[in-house]
Amino acid sequence: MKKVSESTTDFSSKSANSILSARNLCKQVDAQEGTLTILSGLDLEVNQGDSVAILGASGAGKSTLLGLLAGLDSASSGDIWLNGHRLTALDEDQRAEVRSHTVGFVFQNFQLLPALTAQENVMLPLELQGNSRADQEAQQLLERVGLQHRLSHYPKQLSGGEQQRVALARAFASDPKVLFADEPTGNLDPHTGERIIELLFELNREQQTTLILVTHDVSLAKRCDYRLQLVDGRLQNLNDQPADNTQGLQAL
Amino acid sequence: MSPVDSSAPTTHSRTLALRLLWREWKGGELRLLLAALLIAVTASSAVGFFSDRVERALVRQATEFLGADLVLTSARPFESDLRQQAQQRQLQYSEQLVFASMLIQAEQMLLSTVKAVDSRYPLKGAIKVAEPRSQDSPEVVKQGPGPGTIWLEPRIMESLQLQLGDSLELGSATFRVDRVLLHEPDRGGGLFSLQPRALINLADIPATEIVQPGSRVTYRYLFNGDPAQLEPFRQWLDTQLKPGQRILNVERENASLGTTLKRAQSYLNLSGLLAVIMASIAIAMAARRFSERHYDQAALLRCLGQRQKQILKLYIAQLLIAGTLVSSLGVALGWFAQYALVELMSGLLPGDLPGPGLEPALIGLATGLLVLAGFSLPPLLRLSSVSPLRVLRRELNPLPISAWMVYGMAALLIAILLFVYTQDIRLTLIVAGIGSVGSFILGLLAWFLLKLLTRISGPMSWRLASKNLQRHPSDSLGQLFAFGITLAAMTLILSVRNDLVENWEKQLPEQAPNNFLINIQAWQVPDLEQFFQSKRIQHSGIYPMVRGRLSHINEQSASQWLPEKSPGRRAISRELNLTWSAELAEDNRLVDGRWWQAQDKGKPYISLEADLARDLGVTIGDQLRFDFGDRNIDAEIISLRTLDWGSLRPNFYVIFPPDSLQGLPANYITSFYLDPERSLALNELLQQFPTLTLLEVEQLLSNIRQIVAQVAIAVEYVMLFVLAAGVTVLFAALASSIDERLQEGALLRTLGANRRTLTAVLSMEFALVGAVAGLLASILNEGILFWLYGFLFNLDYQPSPSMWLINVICGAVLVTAAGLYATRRIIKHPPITVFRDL
Repeated sequence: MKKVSESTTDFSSKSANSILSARNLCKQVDAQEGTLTILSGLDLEVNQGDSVAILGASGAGKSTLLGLLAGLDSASSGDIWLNGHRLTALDEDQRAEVRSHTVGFVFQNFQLLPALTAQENVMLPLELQGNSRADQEAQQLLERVGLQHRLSHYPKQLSGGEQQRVALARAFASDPKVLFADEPTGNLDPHTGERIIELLFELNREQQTTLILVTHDVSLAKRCDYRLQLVDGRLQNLNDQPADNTQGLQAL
Repeated sequence: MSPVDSSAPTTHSRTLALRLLWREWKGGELRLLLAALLIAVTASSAVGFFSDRVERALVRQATEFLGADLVLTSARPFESDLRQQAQQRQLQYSEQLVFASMLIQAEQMLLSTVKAVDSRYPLKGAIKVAEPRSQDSPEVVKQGPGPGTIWLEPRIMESLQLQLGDSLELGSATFRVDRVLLHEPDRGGGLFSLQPRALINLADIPATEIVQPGSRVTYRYLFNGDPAQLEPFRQWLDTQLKPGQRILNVERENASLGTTLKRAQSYLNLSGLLAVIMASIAIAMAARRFSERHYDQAALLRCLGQRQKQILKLYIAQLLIAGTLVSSLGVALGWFAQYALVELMSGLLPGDLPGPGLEPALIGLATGLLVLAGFSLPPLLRLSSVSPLRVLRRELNPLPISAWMVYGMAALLIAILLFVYTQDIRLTLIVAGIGSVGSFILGLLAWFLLKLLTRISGPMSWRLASKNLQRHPSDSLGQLFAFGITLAAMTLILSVRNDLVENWEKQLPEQAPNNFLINIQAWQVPDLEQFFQSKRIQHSGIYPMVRGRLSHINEQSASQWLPEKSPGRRAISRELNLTWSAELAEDNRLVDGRWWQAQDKGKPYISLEADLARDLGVTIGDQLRFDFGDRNIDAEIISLRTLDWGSLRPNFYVIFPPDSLQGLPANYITSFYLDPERSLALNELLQQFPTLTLLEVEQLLSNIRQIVAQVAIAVEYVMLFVLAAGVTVLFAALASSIDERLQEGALLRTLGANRRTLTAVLSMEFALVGAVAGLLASILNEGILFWLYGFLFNLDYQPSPSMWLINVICGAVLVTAAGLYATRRIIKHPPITVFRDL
């Protein structure tokens, strides 16, 4: 059911259950010192319902990888399939179309719109899809994350934990197949972070969502089915390694 | 979880735009932009409505001087039946007969101008009459004297020692003195028609037997009506004109009032335009801030699957909806604002001001939408190019829009507005051209000054302030530019206003001659000089006056020389007043040729007024022949002069050197100022020189002064709106960088800076921006004024060093005050609250 290849360099088979896969993915950017290679020949395969944590040092390219997999950015070379769409063959507007029906996001800095209330923030993806019951569904979702008493509050009137709960409600509102999370607990204290992680995995279970998350948080990574380390532009599988070793690698 | 409509319909995009708009409004994101727009439209339409009404009132008041919308004068009865013509065209019609005649009471006689009016007189304005001793409480009447009665001016009453109810002879008829005439609407028909006046009924004319074939009378036909009907009628009338017949219009009728009006119109339009341009700058800055604050939203929307075009549509739809609503509201507010304005000024405005028209409302609405589109589209376009990746990497800003596009669009729009507000393509092109080149040079200059500032070392507050300005050069340049243009606009309005009012006052100085003396005989001149001297009365020179007809131009009959429709025909259809003089009068200016020397005495030379020379198609060296009845004189034009017809001094089209007109019957004319409180001196004058005719023009003068005072007040009020628009620019420009300033300030405070240090740094920064903007404004101002005075107002231009100082100081003080107010949060609240709110 869940399968990530044994070797980080050799992804030979493509499961029928695969929801996200990357083949020989490269990303280079032009910098002042010349061309900078961030990802080089990266392979990845994720099955429906998997939860995958991507670890890595600052600047290793975790966010770049997340952006590429979610179709927010275009690769220099290689292929990405998301829910049967070959993202690398699509232009930005076509990728937007794929995103609108497939993908949800949770960000480190929450990315709530300051001018919208909690409920309006959650309504936004539903409204973009033309859902006429956006307000009821948003209200239900906010109740689900325990914010029924905060519906008409603006982001700056909410605590960090509350803001991230609104962001979770928004991410699950459009019923995404894949949820991408970028350091979802990065801006929260450990206790609040713990509660957000609980909520994230609960919702994930309820909705059978595939979860791809980028994190520094080892305890969060441990709760995922798979833990991958991004080193030198490629992914290493950490599932077989002992926890203390993981910590060592993390320090890189 | 929910049924998803995968076709992503566009029908809901409009309602989505509306909902987002409402949320933006609630969240306060749109307030600055819409407030700027509201003020723009309110200011411009208030100016529009008000200027439109005042302008129409001024034109109407000036028409009152004429007595009608259109006047035809003729030396003979007009051939066609004008009454019928006017009826057919639904025009109001009235007829007058004006002539000079002796009024006789017992043994006393007085030459005066008699006007015979019909029952429809006056078509414009009202007649003011009074009891002889109570001139302070005039009674306003809407109809002239009835048959058999005569109304007389106070001077006639005094000269002939008449009482109300006395009888008086005019020609073969006897009239009963019924009222004292204080004011008649159409007496301003040139100064020499301003003899003491009497008003009678037209029906009494046959009984007087004064009007015989060949007698010197003027028939005046007055018409009133809708411009749509009047204009074709005027054109028809034009084709019917014979020699000795003229159509009068407002501008031609009174030189002084005409130019005052024209300048006032130009000024009001200019002010309206400046208010709009300034508000546009505010809108551009607010739109930029709106755009920058929505990068995250755009990125998130992209992330949630919106395409570039959808995002652009979403924002444009929001803006269009908001723009229409706010512009409509602005027009409504402008409408109220001008009512309040009219109320405030009711004492000074004509009582029956025309109602507000529809045109300013439409122009206001169009201006709002045009300005919003033109100045907010470029920054909004950037929103569509925000990368969705920004949700992960906030530093990813969209590519900047080409500066050419932003400034090109702004320039194009300002040019369109300029044309709408001035209706003058030449003016528009010149201003747009000068504006573009000027802006470019100004931008370079601002950039250079900015560079220079950072080179100068100083205390910490100076260092931080100047570094801050240089760190975001494009922002700083934008602010300098906005403040600079705003300050320039404000000082422009202020200095133009001062110069205009000053110029008007100079044109009609407090002691402008208010009395004319005519019919002075040569032998009376020395005695008269002595009289003036003994009474310490300043006069403007005693000029001889000889009447002669211009008969030939360059040996050719003048009527052959001049084309059929030439305006010069007016000068050959009547006798001209000619004079001789050794010196050039002080309000005359030589524009071509030379003034004569002592040896030219008695030579057949003339100096001709420049406009008349143009109308006659003659210049230096041409020969004019004057017919004096029994004698002709041929004279060569050796100089051309311009003169000020508004100066109320005797002025002449044609001047000869001394002794050239010897032997011709001449009488003399002069004008002088006499304090109205010393009017007893006039009685003494008339007692000593009973044959002289005295013309008092005090009433005409006070009429003109009143109009000038009204115009000056209107000008000041319109200025207030421009100032209000300037304040919005100030705040919009400050708001454009307020987040950064707040953040930097909060950071400085967390690093231990106390409030005083922080206030010093902020003040220094704002003062620097303000002072440099003031400098730029001064440069801009001098350029614009130089051109404006020469081109638009025909005033003398003088650079004003004090304005530079005022600009720099005002700039620094204003920007610092507004800046500190806008950033007071940093000083007042703990830094953490500031960080949180950002």
